[in-house]
Amino acid sequence: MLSDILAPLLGGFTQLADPSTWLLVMIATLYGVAAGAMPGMGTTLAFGLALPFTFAMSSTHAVSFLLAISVGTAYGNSIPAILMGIPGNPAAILTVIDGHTLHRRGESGLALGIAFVAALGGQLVSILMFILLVLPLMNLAYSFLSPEIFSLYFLGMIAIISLTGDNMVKGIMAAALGVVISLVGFDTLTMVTRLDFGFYELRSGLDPVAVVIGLLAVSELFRASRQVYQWKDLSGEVQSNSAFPPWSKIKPVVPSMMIGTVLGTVIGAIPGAGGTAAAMISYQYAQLFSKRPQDFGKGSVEGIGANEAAQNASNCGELIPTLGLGLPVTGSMVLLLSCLSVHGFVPGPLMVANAPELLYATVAGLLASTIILIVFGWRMATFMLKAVLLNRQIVIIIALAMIVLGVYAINTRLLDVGVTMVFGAVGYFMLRYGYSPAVAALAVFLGGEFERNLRVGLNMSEGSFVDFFTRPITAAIMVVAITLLVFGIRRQAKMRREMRAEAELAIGLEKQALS
Amino acid sequence: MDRRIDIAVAAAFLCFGLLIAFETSQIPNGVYRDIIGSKQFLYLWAAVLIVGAPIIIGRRIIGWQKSSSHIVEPEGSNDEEGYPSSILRPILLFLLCVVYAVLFETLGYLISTPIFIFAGLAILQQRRYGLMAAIAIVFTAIFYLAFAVFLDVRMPADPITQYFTNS
Repeated sequence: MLSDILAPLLGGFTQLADPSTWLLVMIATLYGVAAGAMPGMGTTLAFGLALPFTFAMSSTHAVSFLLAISVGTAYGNSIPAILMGIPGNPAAILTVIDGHTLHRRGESGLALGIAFVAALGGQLVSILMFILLVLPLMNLAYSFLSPEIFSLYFLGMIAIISLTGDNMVKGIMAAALGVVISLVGFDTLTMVTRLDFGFYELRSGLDPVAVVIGLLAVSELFRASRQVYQWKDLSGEVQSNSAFPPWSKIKPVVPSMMIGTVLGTVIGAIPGAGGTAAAMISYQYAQLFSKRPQDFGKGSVEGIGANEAAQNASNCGELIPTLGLGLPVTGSMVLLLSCLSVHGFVPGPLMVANAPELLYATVAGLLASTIILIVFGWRMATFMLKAVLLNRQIVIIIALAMIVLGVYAINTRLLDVGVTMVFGAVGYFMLRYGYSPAVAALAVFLGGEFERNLRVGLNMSEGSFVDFFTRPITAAIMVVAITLLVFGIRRQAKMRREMRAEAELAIGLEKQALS
Repeated sequence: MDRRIDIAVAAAFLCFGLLIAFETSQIPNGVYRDIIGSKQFLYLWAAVLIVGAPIIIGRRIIGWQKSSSHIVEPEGSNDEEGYPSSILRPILLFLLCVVYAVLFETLGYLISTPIFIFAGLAILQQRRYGLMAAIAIVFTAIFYLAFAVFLDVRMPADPITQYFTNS
């Protein structure tokens, strides 16, 4: 058992012996921190912009590079949250509430210091948790046949539909759109072409990377272009008293950081949950176990600790199903698997089991970026704040140009650029009107295999669906999927009831005021 | 969120579902047969779109009868409060990207890219033309180094370079 755990760690350390890994991780970490500091530019968009560069790297370097970006982004978003009151992404909202309150009290050094220690502590501990949790999944993957893979993808889609977005019907429709797109092209089982609309260019299907970048990255840039303002306009003050806090001030926060780390890793592994849910739930639990719960929301260092640790730990959590089972649970993980598919890997339960160097590269990327942040992260904090002072409009256009060139670079084919732009426009409307582009991207990526495994599984069982419910692993997965579906429906019904009650109350008050 | 656009988006999904169902019916039978075949899975997902969209449209229309306002609780990403927003800018940017893609191979990378960056900045209401031109030229050079030199991507040459290459 111990040797099983040590193998990925040793493999990771071996990859760190390569100086080029360090150089790439250094660049990725700096880029990640700067991207995290820019509001609205989360891990997914940062991955989308950097993806073309990973095609020129080896697969292991590409994995380390992308994961270093995610570590940098998770840390970077706390800097403007504390010093300017601007959340880099939704997960940093709670850091704004407590961190910016401390900053206004003149305790920005304390807030930044706690965020720094929590982010790095959470990251380091969650790497070990990731190894502990991913290994059993990788071993389990050997017992996966088509029915198991089908049920696994079914669970992934149901989970992400149930947990993301407010409207499940729209979530299911987003999944339907993604699956349909993934089925365009040649059907390898019956040797016919599907949905080519008479265009021979579509006979080999749409490039999933071009579609996914359009849905996840271009859509966000189009949405950002709706408004013209500068990030610095959101808050004027950019001053900080950034002396690192003494250990006596950090020590009481350690239990909250541990809560954030454990919950962040576990919740991060749930499809669709992601860093925001991990941060919110960890914050609530930290408040529950705190000796000073009344401080939460009013400048609590424990709140910052739990929130920041959870955000960084969720990075490792997301990797557990992504690498252990080939099931990407967030938009950024879809892009990670897209990158690996360009490198010739076939995403699925056996991907990492057959190529353990990917696991070693993961550990190397996460470890190296954490070490880089330990050494330079504190000094970076105020320096990276300059990222918020960049001209937002220039960033949008440069990012768009990078995506166009990056997508063209995949196959040097203009069709891919057109596909990315069309799905960017589709994704824009989905994003604005509650059809999750992340669900659609997941479906684009899994749809083809989802159908193929259903059909192969049915052929294996001579046309009987019984195997899809009676084999031990499929039965367990299906039970979890159906439970999640029921949970999602009940959650949505509850939300609708609450909204209706609120609306009726507002109408009642309005009538009372008029009479 | 404007309920009229929400209805229009749902209607677009409905049309797409119908198109997929029709196109699926045109798929020929394959050489090999299996239980589900090439069509059934597509029909299933087209049906999801065809059934789901009217549910969304129906809910919005029923809600409309209760409240006269077009604005409803947002279900997607909202704008930053306090700053005017316009759908015209994303539409113009989309069109600019399409024009860029079309001109990319005709005019070549070195001519089309600075035009794209300059025009994009103009759409996003940048008005310091000197700075815009400088940014367009500098980033065109940086991207050329990154993609053509570092990533070894064959960028389309402009007509002048092509003339010298051909002669």
